[in-house]
Amino acid sequence: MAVRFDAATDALSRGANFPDQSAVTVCGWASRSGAGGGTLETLFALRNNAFTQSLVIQHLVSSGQIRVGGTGTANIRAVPANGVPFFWALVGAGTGANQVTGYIRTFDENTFTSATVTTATITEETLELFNANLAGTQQPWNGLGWNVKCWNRALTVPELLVESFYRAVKFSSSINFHYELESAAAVYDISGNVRDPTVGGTLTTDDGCQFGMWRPRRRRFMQPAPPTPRPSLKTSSGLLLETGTGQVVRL
Amino acid sequence: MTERTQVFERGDWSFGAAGTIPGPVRTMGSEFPVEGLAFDAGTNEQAFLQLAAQDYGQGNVTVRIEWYADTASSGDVVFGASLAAITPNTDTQDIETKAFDAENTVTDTHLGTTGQRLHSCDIAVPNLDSLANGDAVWLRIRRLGADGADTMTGDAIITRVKVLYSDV
Repeated sequence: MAVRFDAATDALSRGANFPDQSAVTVCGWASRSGAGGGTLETLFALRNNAFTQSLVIQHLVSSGQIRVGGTGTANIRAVPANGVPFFWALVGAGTGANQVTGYIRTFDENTFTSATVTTATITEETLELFNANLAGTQQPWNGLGWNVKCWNRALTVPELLVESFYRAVKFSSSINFHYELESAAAVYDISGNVRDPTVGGTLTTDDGCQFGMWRPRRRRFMQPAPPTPRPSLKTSSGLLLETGTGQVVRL
Repeated sequence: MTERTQVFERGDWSFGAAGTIPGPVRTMGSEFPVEGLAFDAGTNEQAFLQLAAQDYGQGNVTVRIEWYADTASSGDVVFGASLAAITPNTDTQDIETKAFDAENTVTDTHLGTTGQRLHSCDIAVPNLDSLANGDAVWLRIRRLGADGADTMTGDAIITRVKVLYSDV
């Protein structure tokens, strides 16, 4: 299951408890259903209200590229075709040259395509998912989103690859929030930090696929076979029973 | 006697420090997806499983590893298994600093003919860390890719692990 974000105002956002731009990982799964209607279709933005500085991962419609943005932008790869599930991530490890990296892998790939950009210090005022909205200008992601995780640290690539396959958070150190987004009625933080998002628009539930949702199998223990009942012989004079030592006794 | 078997698959793994993490893989086969953990050649990578020693009786534990080679069609791969067992309410050991018992290993040879054929190998584990019925148990699985005896190139992809033991 997943949450369907429409081409209007559907979005998740937060106004507090931001990850620091120098130690942040945000990732999740998405698929695109169609055009969002804007020039940009944003998966994630950590920005100030002037939008002059930001950390973003978004689709630039005119180029057909998903790009990562800091001070300037860098193309990661062409946006996956509509309906193709993919994992996206943004990792910020500091300010300065090449400290912000964007990652993409589609459901049938086992490695990331990535790009890095430089970032200056930003004043973090808004965190947005699946849309970015500045003074009424929307950048909606028109499609599905699920299993979004955020940490107050920069994950390594091996850690990020693991997190892209598993439903649960596997590296829980410095977790900021975890929105599983299994349904529109269950949009809340399950990290334990109670950092629920503000919901914009009217979300709906969709039958999204389960990529990125590996989970433990249900344990089944083999039970010992029940003891074989020993036959008893009923005679006209009573019940004959074999004892544990092989003796036959009459009850 | 009943042989107890506990089965572990893709979703059951836990992971440790960065740099030793085998990568999860999902390959779209011609008929069905094949999923597992890919352990590198050349480095020692490890992942962890947690189990309860339900109805453990006595004797060695057998760790059965089902694996296939990503690219190779020959060579040897070395797997290791280590147990750490804690008896709740009895052992005073700090769970967060608990150490593994000595590692037991197996060297399995690629059977050739088809590179990505499924193999199975058993690690006999006599180093049981005083295992008792009902213990909380952690199992570390490693590919000793840096070991000189591990000569297989490319990833070894583990698809399933079985833990077997006797209940008497």
